[in-house]
Amino acid sequence: MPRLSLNDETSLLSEWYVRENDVVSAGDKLFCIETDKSTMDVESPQSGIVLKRYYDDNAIVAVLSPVCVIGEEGEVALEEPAGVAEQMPPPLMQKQQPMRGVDPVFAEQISGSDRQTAAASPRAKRLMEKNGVHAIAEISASGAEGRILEEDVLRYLAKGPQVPVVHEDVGREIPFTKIRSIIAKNMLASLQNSAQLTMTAVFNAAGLQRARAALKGAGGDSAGVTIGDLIAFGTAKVLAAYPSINGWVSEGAYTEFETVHLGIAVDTQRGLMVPTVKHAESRTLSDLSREIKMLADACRTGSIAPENLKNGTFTISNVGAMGIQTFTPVLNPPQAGILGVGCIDYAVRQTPEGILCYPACHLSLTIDHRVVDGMPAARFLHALCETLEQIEQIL
Amino acid sequence: MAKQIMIDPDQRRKQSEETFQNIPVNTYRKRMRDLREEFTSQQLLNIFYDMLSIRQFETMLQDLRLSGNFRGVKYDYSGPAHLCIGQEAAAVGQAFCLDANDFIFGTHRGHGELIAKGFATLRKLEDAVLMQIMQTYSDGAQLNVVQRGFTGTVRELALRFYLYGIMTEIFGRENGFAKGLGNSMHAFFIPFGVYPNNAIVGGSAPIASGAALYKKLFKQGGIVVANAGDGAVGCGPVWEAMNFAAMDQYNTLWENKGGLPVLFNFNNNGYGMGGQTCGETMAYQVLARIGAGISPSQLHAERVDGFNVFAVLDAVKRKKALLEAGQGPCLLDVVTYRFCGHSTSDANPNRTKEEIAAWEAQDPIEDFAVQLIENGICSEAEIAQTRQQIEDFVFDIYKLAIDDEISPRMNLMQQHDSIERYLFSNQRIEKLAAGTPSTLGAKEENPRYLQIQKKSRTGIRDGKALPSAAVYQIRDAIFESLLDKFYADPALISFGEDLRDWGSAYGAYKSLEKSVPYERLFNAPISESAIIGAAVGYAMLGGRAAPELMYCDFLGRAGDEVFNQLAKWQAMTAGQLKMPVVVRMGVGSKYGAQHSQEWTSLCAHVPGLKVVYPVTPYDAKGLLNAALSGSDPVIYFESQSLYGLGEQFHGETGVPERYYEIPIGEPDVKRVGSDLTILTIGATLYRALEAAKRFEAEFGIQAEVIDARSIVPFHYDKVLASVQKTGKIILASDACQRGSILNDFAENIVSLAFDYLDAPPVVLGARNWITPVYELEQEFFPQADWFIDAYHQKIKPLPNYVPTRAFHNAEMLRRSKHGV
Repeated sequence: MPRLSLNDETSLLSEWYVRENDVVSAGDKLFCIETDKSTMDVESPQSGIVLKRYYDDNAIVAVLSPVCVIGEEGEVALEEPAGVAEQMPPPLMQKQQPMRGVDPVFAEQISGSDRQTAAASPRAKRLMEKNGVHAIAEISASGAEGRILEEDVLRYLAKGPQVPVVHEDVGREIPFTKIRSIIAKNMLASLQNSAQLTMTAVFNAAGLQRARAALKGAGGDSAGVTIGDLIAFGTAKVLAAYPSINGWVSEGAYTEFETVHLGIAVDTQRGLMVPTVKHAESRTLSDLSREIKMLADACRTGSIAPENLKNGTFTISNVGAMGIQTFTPVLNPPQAGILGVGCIDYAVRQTPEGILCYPACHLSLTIDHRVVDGMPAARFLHALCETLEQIEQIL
Repeated sequence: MAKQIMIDPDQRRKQSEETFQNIPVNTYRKRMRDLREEFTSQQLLNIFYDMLSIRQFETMLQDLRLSGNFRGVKYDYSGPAHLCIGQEAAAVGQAFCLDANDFIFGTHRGHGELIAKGFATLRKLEDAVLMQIMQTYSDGAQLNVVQRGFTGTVRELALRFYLYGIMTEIFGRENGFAKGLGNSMHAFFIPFGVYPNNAIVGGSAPIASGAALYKKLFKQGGIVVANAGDGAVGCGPVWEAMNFAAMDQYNTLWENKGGLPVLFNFNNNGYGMGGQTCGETMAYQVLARIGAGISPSQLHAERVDGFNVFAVLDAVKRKKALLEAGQGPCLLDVVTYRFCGHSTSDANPNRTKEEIAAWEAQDPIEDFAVQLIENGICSEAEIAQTRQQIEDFVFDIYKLAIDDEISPRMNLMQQHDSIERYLFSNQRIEKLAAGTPSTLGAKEENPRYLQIQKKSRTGIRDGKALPSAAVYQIRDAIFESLLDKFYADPALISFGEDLRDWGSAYGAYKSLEKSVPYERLFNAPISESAIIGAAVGYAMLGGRAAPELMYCDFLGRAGDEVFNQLAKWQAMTAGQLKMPVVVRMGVGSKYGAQHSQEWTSLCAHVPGLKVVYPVTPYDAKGLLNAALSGSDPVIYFESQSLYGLGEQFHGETGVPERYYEIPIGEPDVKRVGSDLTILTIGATLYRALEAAKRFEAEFGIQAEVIDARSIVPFHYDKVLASVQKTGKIILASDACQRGSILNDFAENIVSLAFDYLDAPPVVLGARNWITPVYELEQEFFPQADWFIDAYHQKIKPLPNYVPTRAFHNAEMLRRSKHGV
């Protein structure tokens, strides 16, 4: 099991591509691993027969330890991986029993359902032992502090062993994948640890649409440029002039950047991933578009390199394709800003020339109010809208 | 109180002046040359011999503590060494006048009196008597050692025997006079009238007074000496004892007139440990002055020169005559000085070398040696020879005493019960004195006795409670038991505050004075220490006492006497003394923080006390009968809120009129049940029974309620059988929960019935607060609904029950964290 990042003690072996006794060649994909930041396929270093797989799918494996044995026909692999201290995976979440409040309401605190462990009284245990009952989890406890009493065992014995009933409406429990754990941790930490303020704006996207149509018509390199690419291009340019929105918040300090490493939120089967387009402000539109596509594809196929998931200074999340107008994007720490791009629909506006019906694109900007005040954020959003309305001028 | 004594306002308010007699100070100046006719040469040589023996004995201990060897023979002695080097004349002068029938009680610095009294007494006994004592004491254990190869006289053998018994006692060896269980500060030898020394400063004063009371009541002759240091005058119990011994009632109300024959003898060496009693820590200046504060007799107090053995001898002789004439008590202020420190670890930070040297220059032994030569009693060479002879004698005994083969220690590995068998004597002795008890008329003529005959002996008739006034109550049970015992045992006496006439604060004794004469039932001063201490001394001499402390809250006032004296003397004398003392004390109610505490746990904690707490008339009578027939100290608790209660547990017949005993230690099942055990101590029983009714009526739970009745000793059988049946137990009493003996019970039940428990044992005690006013007591003492609340939270949640008080783990932790 390779170590993908210095801090990883374990990796998740998410999927095997080979079975025991399969013949493999050097370079064949053996299995897929997920780390905190990415997934990658591990290739066979040599040709031979898969003699032994030490783990199943979705196993947590200590890094730098044997995962399988590939050898010649007739060789026998050890039943257990040799030479590696067994490491127990840490539980995903430590279930903590909150300390009960003390006064003055006790009634609900002392119910049988408040069962911390399957503790049985010595008397109950004695009875269980006498009757060969081992399935302590199947006995419902009626004692204080969730304790199984003698009478609970007697009731259980009278009923006979209980077959667990599966109700049709019972949900299916899916353990968190490593990526899901990371997302969950980051999202929660983001909302718990920063002061998020979201403001929304609408701009006339007629210019964007015209530019997109023109580029498509021109063919060549730029034919694949999307509205989203155009918005990213405009955003990178404006951000370069607003370093107060483009930066990292840390404990007691804010780091501004004039360089824009633009994070692009990508929806993948494994969950949300955010690859980073380095130096987005200095790239040409076609270069930017190409890079975004390449990174997004890598995310979707799981081949994104961990370093391409790091160091973003600002993020764009585009959910417009689903018809969403506005939302409250969640900051990607330590960044101070994230731009949510909504759909383009039609709006009407009173102008000196009369009623104007125009394609309206919705933007939702979330900033960390600890370091960015409302007006500077509004100024940035206003400038962004103006730039995007006149995108053709910077192409 | 006594109606025959009128407190006359005219008399009390009359102008007059109190006068005091002059207090003699070192009046006696005679020396040997003035006394040649009064003493034989042998007597004078004996005095010298005894003083030197003490000096040599103490020097040996000092050498051992300071250098680890005596005359080159090593021995590691690290026990107490409160030596009396310098004070020998005071001890020997006193002992010279005393006979075997005069008893001394001593101090932590008592080796001198111990040796002096023993040596002086044995010289007064016939050879045959001495031989008999030596042969029978410890089955001849000491004699066997000291007579091996010895060819001297019986008296010389007795000296060896005595010194060996003391030394092995101090070294904690089984051949010691108390098998090594008394050791240095508590040594004694009763056949020679040497009663125990006492490690508690002033501790002997109340005890000696009680011993003197026994001597007075049984007209035994002889006197009692309470030896103490001058530092002891700072102790309350000493004052209490002096007043107790001098009370007016001995001359105004008792038939057998005269104060107690006790001499309060203060060996006044000027220091209470390090505190200088003249000039620093005390105010009397001349100790003898304090007698004037006690009684018009001024306790015949005087100061004598304790460096002049003849002065001490003369004073003790005169005081003894006064005491024997019923003019006691007496007080002597014997000025002396210890050349050594308080103990061998005392570096004398508080006195100068000049001071010590000045006293050493007047060393009473050297002075006496000079006088012997001057008066032609012996030569200088003979003096030197005597010194050598005594050193050899002590060295000889020393070698025997430290020899592990000859003088082994108790082997607790092989004989586990070597000590525990002395904790209690566990005897049943109906009468502790021969003859007919002194009473006033027939028992059957006592008005209370007659009144009780008209009462219903059960509190329940046809399932209904009878009115309190019509039933035989707990106070009647106590009365009946005591009345029976006063007519059965001539040795029984009872005293305490307001027992006579008033009839004890809650009427348990009412009319007892109609049958029992003053000498056997009297009102004590408000002196809890003296009350219990005197009971201890009275019992040491062979009597049986039933003192009362009105409220157990006053136990602190008698803390030393209950916890250090009453509890310990049977074991510290290796069973040579018995302690048949039943201390009745009330558990108050409604009277707030200093009158409503349940302190059975405090008493149970100290080894050597039996503790009972009956709460029904049947149990009250049966347990008091057992206690008053035993040979051990029993703390007998009574609930003041239950005195008027009738019997509810013995059907239509109720409490038998006949005499019966309930064995101490047996709990009693008061209600049978199958689902839950409740074990209570004391008055909590009735709230537990109320809870049991509610458990049954509201939840269908059958509670078995067991009344502990006794706390020490305690037989677990019934409780364990019950827990094996129910699997659940709540233990409850009115004692504050922290440190309650019930926690001990709960722990034992967990150990003894772990596999039967369906829930952890639940202990319910009073809150760890002060007892609040009566109206708030239900928030302090366990109530019936507390049992249900605790059951719900700790054992099994009850359907649709909403508890009102917290007993869950978080609350336990919170209370503990805050110490409440």
